[in-house]
Amino acid sequence: MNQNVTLRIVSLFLIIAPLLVIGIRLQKNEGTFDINPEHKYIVNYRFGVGGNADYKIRTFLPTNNQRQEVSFANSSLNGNISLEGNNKLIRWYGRFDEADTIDYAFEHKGRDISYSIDPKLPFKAELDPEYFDYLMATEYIQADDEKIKSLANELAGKSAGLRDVIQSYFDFVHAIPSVATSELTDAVTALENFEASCNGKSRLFVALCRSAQIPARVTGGLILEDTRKKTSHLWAEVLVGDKWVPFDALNGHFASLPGHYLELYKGDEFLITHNSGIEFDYIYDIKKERVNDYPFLAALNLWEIIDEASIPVDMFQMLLLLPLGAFLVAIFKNVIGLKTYGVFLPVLISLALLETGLVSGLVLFSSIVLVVALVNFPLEKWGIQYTSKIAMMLIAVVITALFAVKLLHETNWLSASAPLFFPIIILTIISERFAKKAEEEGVKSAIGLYTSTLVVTLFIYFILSSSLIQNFVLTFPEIILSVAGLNLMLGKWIGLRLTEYHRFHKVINA
Amino acid sequence: MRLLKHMQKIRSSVMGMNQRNLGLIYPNNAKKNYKYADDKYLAKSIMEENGIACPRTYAVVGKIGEIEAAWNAVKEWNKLVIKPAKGAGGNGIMILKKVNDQWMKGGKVIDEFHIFSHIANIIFGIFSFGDSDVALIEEYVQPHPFFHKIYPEGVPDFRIILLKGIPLMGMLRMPTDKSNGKANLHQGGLGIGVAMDTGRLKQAYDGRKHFDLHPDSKHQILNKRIPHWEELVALSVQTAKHFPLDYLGVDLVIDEHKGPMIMEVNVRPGLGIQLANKQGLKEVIENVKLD
Repeated sequence: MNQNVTLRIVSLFLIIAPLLVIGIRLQKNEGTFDINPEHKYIVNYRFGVGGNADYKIRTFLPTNNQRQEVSFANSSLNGNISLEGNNKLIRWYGRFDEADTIDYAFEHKGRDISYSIDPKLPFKAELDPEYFDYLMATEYIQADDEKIKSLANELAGKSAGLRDVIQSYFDFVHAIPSVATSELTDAVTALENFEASCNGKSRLFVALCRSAQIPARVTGGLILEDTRKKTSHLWAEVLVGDKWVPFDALNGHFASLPGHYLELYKGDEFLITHNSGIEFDYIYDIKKERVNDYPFLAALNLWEIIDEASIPVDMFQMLLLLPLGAFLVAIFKNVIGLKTYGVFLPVLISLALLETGLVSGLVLFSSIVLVVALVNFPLEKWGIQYTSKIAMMLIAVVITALFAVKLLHETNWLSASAPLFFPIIILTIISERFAKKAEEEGVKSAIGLYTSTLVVTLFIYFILSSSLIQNFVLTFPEIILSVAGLNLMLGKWIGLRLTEYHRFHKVINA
Repeated sequence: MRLLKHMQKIRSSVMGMNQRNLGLIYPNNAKKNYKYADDKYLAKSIMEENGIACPRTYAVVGKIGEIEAAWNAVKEWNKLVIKPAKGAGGNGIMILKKVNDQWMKGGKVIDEFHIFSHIANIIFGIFSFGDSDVALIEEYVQPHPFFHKIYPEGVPDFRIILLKGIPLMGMLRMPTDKSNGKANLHQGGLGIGVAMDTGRLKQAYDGRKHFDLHPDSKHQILNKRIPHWEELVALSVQTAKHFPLDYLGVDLVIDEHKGPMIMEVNVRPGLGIQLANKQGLKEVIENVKLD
């Protein structure tokens, strides 16, 4: 009895203590527990102003939208902030006696976004007058230029769907050779030179859309990375239905945009303008910070180790997911009553499946098991000693795996980097046990056990492939102790297994 | 609702795997004593020391070099059983009969070379997961005619489960056409429940259905009185007393001439016995405690 009380206390402590720590860490750290974004960026505009004259500087500030969340950090000098149309601007006026700097910093958390455009959406649709502005030809976006008009017609061809038309413009512009220039390139010039940077490509893409009566606009901002830079970026947005959908024809983002794109303004604007007669310089100082590491009270900050020692995330992930997987196997066995070949096999196979892909991995592993199980029969018949038999079957597994990989690779089913080493040994053991089971209790029950092994494997695969769970265990590795506590309790659970209700239902007369 | 009620009844009566392990095996059997059951050689030593009836051991072979000498010492017998001491589930058991001075195995002639290599395989550990093992050469048990009146093939045996020396449940395991002479439930054998107080057979169970008659021979099973029943129970109690295991399954046979004998002792007796008896082990244990 006493022993049971101790055990209960130990297991409850193991379960609850890590949860408390995790709770405190969630409270005390400024993090968002969200896998997307893993990072935030601190962006600092730094403007150097000199010349001992009145200065007038104008730039854009980011706003929150579906894919970005921004918050003010600090600034060295208050500016006038105003909303104009779609954009938020800041202006500084004044005069410095000596050359000085203006700093303005904010934080950015972005997430990837991607849209799927219904291919059935018609190319020509009735348009709300509020969007007429986005069909206009402008100085740099010459939608009414004959060359652009005829190109737009030619590219669209007979396509009736909006998506196909946009795709044809996008592909054309994407294929134009890129040059790194910060000079302003208008749509016609980009087409005539047949080379352009981001701004030329975006204007050409928008011009093509507009000349086909599809509302479009350019959008400007920064591609965030852990560096100091002067280069800004321009991409485009096209109105699809009532949504502005992003396109970056330079970097090949079709109807999608990565999380580290900072959007600053909409429309064909200059990011920074200043009056003449002053000395002016600028730099964007960007720092990348992890937001999911919760450093406070972290006994083991794995993200820090991953960032600093450049250890692959996968390795920690596998290590941490193993105990969770083993616990799930224990639940399947002791609570549900599904038996498997070995405790670790389903866990290891499901981890391997994370890398190989579900279907190709299952085909590969199952074919290995079945082929190699056949090798067991002559070995058993000839009375080969156990250790030698296992070694023989390992050789058979390796040979089968090599041919299977060759075959799968030729059919592009399997990525070449799929890690096959660690499941190999396990596959040998399962093959041998499969064969033994088939011999002792018939092929049917061997396949039955294999099937229930696969069921458990698949279930574990779906749990472990959740990026939320993967990220959680990496951020809060202490959760492993809770798993240990649950395991202890499960190890003392004496209830009937679910399958036993079926197995023993004839003991009681219904 | 009816399903829930049925499940509740099962829960209150049936012993499941989890409770068997945690409630019966672990607290009653120290791991270090498992070997007295798992190793048939050790088990037999205990039985022989304490005068518990069991099949006579003709030879024990632990080394390859001893095979020939051991064989020469036992080959005068007309019937033999060769088995691995640490085998499980009836694997590696070879039954040999001499017909016209030739050794037969399951109706086929077998030469000495194959007998020797079988013994060598046992010693190598083929039937005991790679552990080196010992081969036992034993007396063949001629089943009591009672059994062959029900079904003419194979060697049926009894399993009696005891807790702290108290017999709880019993079962007769009998071969069928499907089981190829073997009596194990998972190999297609029949499990037949036994009324412990009267020594009469209950219905038979083949893993799917219950029968009153043997499904192949159609001979009556239900209510047949088992010969030597009181002796069988007494022998199982005597065995339990001499093994350092408080929860165990004792396997017994009845030889035509010598009567009840212990075949082996099991620390993890299966739970299928509940189906054969249509009775839950949990309920049985509770009733025993009430007495």
